[in-house]
Amino acid sequence: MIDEFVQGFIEEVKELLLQLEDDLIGLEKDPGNLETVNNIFRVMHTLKGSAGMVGFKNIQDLTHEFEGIYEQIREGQRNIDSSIVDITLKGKDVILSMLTGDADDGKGQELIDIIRKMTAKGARGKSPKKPKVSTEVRVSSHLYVILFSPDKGVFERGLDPDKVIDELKAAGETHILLHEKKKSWEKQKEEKVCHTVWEIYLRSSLAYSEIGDIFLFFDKDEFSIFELSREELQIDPFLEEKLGKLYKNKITPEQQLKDCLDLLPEQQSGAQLPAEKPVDSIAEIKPVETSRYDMEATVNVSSHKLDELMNLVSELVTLTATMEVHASRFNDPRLSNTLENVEKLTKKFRNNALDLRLVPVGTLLSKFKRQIRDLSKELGKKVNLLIEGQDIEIDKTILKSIESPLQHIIRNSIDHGLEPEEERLSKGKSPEGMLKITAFYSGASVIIQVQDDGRGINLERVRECAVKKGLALADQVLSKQELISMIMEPGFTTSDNISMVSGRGVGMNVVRKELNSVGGGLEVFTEKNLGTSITMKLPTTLTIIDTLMIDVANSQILIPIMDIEYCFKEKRQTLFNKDNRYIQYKNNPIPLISLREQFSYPASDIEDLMVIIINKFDRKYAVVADLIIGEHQAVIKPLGDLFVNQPFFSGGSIMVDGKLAFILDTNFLFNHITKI
Amino acid sequence: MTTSDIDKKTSYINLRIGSESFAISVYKVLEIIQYEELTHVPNCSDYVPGVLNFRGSIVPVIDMHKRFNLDSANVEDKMVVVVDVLSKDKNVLMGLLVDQVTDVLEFEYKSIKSVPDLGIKYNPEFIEGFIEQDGKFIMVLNIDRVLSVEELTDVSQITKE
Repeated sequence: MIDEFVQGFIEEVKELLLQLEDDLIGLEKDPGNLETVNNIFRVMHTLKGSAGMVGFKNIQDLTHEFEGIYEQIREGQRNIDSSIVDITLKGKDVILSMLTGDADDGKGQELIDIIRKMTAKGARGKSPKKPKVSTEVRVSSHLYVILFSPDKGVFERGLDPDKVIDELKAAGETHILLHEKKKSWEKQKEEKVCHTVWEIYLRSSLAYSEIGDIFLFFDKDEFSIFELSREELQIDPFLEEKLGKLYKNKITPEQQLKDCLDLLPEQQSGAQLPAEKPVDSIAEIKPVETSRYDMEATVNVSSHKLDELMNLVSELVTLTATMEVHASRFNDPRLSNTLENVEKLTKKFRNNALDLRLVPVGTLLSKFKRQIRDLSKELGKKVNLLIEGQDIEIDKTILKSIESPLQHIIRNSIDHGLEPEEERLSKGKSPEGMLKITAFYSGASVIIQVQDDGRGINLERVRECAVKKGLALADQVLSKQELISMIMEPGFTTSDNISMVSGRGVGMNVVRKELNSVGGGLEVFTEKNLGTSITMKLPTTLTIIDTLMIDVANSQILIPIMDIEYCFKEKRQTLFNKDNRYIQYKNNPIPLISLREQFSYPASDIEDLMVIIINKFDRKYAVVADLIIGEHQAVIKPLGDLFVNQPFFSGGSIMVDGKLAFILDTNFLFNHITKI
Repeated sequence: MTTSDIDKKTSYINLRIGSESFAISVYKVLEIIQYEELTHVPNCSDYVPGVLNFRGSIVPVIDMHKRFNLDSANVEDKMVVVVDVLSKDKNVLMGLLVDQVTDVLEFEYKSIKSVPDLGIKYNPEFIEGFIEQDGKFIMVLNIDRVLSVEELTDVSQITKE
């Protein structure tokens, strides 16, 4: 039981740390973003709380210090600089190692000392405020302005605004202004209709989120909480009065508050102002609840169980279809109606089961953001990272298995691909190197592409090394693609010096091996001085795609609809009257592929054939089928290891009648054809 | 394997492929189904006449006649024995196309005779041993080896070229 609890905690922390990393990297790009600072603070706070509960004292202590430093930032006493981001990232790593138990406590203590020094220096020394050592020993200096305007039907919801006011009164010193409108509050209470707006000034030791908790049962448009944390505010004893009066004369509360802030002496606003931006403050409460909710709503299930579920559901779908066929003989409307409902339910059931296995690619890609940032710092190269298609969903096991291949590729790109700034400038490129990671569906596969605009693979150098290593003869004629495939040979490297990052010559070979082990493939394109693009093609194991079902010699073949550009009917004679296999499409000749021929089926004498124009990676070609049957939503099933070497299909699918159909691999088919 | 395992009786499924009899441990067998028309996979090796839908997975069917170079008996109702094979530390489902599943045999592990070095036409790695029944020899198959994916894909590559 306790172990489970700890395990749950570890999972939660890992998620939180991932979020933290994301936020930190975001913060570095946009240091002024208070929302991000708040997020980080919240993560630290949550970590501290949970760690304490489970008994990770070291994590609790460390996060406590971080909480302190981010508190200072929140309060505008400190600016974000890269040293803070750096130390927090370090902290994240230390926490992670603490989780696994192999942490050396010295590291944690070291960090704590550094942070203490930072916090002690405090906020640009303006106010000699003591550094906040702990939030337990609270400095009771929070000043809140709260506008509370319950909906007029608040009583019907079983809520009593008076109770809220009482709670606020109990929370600290209050100064409450009641804006009752026409009728008195007492009268409104009798009539059970609320028109009153409360304006509360509260000096309390409670944290912002704790104040928010008091309003737990109210909608976010029913209350707004603003924190005025500056000590200067509290020095002026009349300020509260002023704020109160102002409210009476103004119509919109928000405008009024801005005016209040404008009223403050010049040097006190300015840099610190964002902390009290009303809009931000409102948004501050909600996310805490939603993110916490999300985490609690996650359940870890072994993928084996999911597989089994998926198979059972697929069986059920097939059986239902068979049942329908049998039932149709009875001509009983009640029976067929019931079956129809059963079918609908099973389909829903199947779709739900399908979704369970898939996770967005973004969950992995965001991990790399940190690595890329660290790498670019380490190597002194500025990297502009672009990520597209984060929400493309892929089977979790596959996503996991490509983590290290992807890491290799990214490292290669930054270390070897992207040039240092001066070199880029001399080439007329932008000083920042571009690294683009794109994910998208391609038929039955998911493609993840890593593209850089660096110097490209030096193919002459590859050639030299290949000759040196005895992979090629000195005078051998090698095509570009052949040279590229050399870099995937074991032990191949062109780098003269082995850096910490890459250059050991195991990279691409390992990448290829690992991708092959999950049934994926690798394609490399490179152009001198323009960059390199590495395309990973991955199976989705269990994805659902829309396909067009065609018939080739009574075999049912599925073509992913997203790869199809156009379909039309054409006479056999027009298609195959000449020797060359090309067809004019939009005034361009494109290759024409007869599937019958490819599949070694006997030629047919069907007069009207169907031509399907396929557009894959911007390469167009036409395939010829006997017939188009219709659309089919295919649950992709792997064909298994036995068919790894066949170039035509990326998977199969089970039809409603229990029969099988194969999914055409539109990308590999093209490569296969052009090779011959 | 402990002594008790050797003494314990195990069940084997007795198959007929062409003129020969083979046995497979029941632990490997998931289901025995009537042969129905398979879905043909274009340009695939002769060993694989097609695939079938077995409980929602695509399962390749291996023609055992071709695998052992035996003539197919003229039997109408062929059977497909779905087995769970261990290949490269992975469990793979495969169907064996056979002429007949005759019966289930029970015998002690120790009664399996080892493979003679000479005089058999099959790769000795494929055969675990022999058992004698009513004066006839039945070959106990090492089914993991017979259906090893490496070997099968190798073959399919050769036939493709």
